Amino acid sequence: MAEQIVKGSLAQIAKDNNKSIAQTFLSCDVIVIVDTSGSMGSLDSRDGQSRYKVACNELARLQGTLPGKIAVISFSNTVLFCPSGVPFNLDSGTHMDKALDFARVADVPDMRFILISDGEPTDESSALTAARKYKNKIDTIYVGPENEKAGQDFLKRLAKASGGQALQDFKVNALGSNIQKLLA
Amino acid sequence: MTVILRNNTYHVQFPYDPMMVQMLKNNIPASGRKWDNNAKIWQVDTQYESTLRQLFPNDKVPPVATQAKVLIETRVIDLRYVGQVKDRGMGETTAFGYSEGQWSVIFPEKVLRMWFEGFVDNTPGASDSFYSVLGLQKSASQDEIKTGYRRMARQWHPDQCREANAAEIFMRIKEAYDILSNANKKARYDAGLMLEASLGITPPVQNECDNYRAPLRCGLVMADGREGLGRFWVSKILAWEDLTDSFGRVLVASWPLGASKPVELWA
Repeated sequence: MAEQIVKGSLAQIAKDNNKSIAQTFLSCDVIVIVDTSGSMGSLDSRDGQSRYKVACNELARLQGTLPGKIAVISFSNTVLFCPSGVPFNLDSGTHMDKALDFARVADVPDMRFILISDGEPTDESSALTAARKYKNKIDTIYVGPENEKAGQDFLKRLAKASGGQALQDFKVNALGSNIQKLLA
Repeated sequence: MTVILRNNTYHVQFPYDPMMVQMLKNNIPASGRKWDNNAKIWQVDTQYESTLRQLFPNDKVPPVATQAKVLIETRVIDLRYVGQVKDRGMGETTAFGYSEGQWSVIFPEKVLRMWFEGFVDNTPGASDSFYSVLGLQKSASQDEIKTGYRRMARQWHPDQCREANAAEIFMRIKEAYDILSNANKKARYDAGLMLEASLGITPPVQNECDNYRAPLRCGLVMADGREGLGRFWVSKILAWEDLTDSFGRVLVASWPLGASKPVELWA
C-alpha cells in the first residue's frame, strides 16, 4: 500500500517543488513530537475513534493550514521522523527520552517544539534530563483521560523543565486548536 | 588472430570482422579496451584475460604473471575537462577526463565523491546537497564556504561557462551560498539533512537520468593512480587546484551543446 502523504506535509511540499526534505525543512517552524505508544490506540476519542486516529486527522488538518511549517516525529519503542505528516508505528513503550534526544538535532534558533502524549514515559528522569538540554522551549499537550493525574503532572514538569507551556486536551478533543493556541 | 602481451597490456589483432568487433565490445567495456588506429590492434586490459580466453578459445592468450605488480604512481594532471559519470559496465561508474588532447584520465565516481564530499554515498539525491553544490564537505567552515562559493560561481557563471545548464547551476550555487553563509539558515538546513538521513533513503527528487557530476570540470589535479591502456586510472585525488595563467586568470572549461570538444575561457 502506498504511503499516505498529508497535504501540506514536508514530503508533499518537497515533492511539489522538486526539492529535498532538508531544503523544505528550511521553512519549518514547528516540530510536533507525537506519542504513538499502544495507549494512543484507545477508542475513547471523538465518535469512538482512537486517540491516535483523531490526532492524525487533527495534525493533517493543521499541516494543510500551515503547509511546510510542521515536522512530525513519532515515538513509542522507536523514534521516527515522519515527513509524510502521518505519525506512525503504534507500539509498546513510551520512550520520550529517545524522542527528545532525537528531535534535539532540530533545536535551532526560533524552532518550536510541541510534545503530545497521553501518559507517563518509560523513563521520567531521562525524559526530563533530555528536555533540560533544549535551548528552545518545549510545550506539551496531554491527551490522555482526565482522571490520570500522573501523566498530566509529568507533562507539566517536562514543559517547565524547558520553560514551555503545558496544555490539556483530554482524549484528543481539540488538538488542532490547542496547537494553534500554543503557536499564537 | 594474434594475442600478445606487451607492457602489461594485451594486444589483440585480427582481420576486420564487424561481428568479432561487436563481440569484443559486448564483452569488454570501453574502459577496458582501446583501439590503436596506428597499429590496427585492440589494446585490452589484463584483467580481461579470462574474457579473452572465452572469446578466442582457439588462440593462445598468454597468461599474466601472477606476481605482476600494479604500480601506483602519483601524477599531476593538467585536466581540461571531466565529464559526467556513467556506467561503463565496470561494476562502478566512471567519468573520463580530458588532458593533453586526449580522454586519457579515468575517475571512478567514488574517487570524485570522496574528494568533493568527503564520503561515498550512492543514495539518490545525495549529491544534491548544498554542500556538494559548492564542492564542500559538511564540516566546512565559513571561510571554506566563502572560498567554495567564489570558486564555483566563477566556474559556472553563465557569462563564462557555456554548459547548457550553467544558468541553472549558477542559481543553485547562489542559493547554496545564501543558506550556508547564514548561521541560522545553515543550522536549520543541517538539521533537515540529519532528519532526512534518519529516513535511510533520500526521496527521489532528482531526475533518475542525472548521473553524478563533479562540481569542477577542470584544474591541476594531483592524484594517485595507475597507467593502463594509455589511460591513467585515478585511485585517489590528492589536490585539485584551479588552472591559472600568468595574468592570474582562472580557466573555465565548458562543453556547449553541439560542440565537438570542450571550450576553454580564461576568466
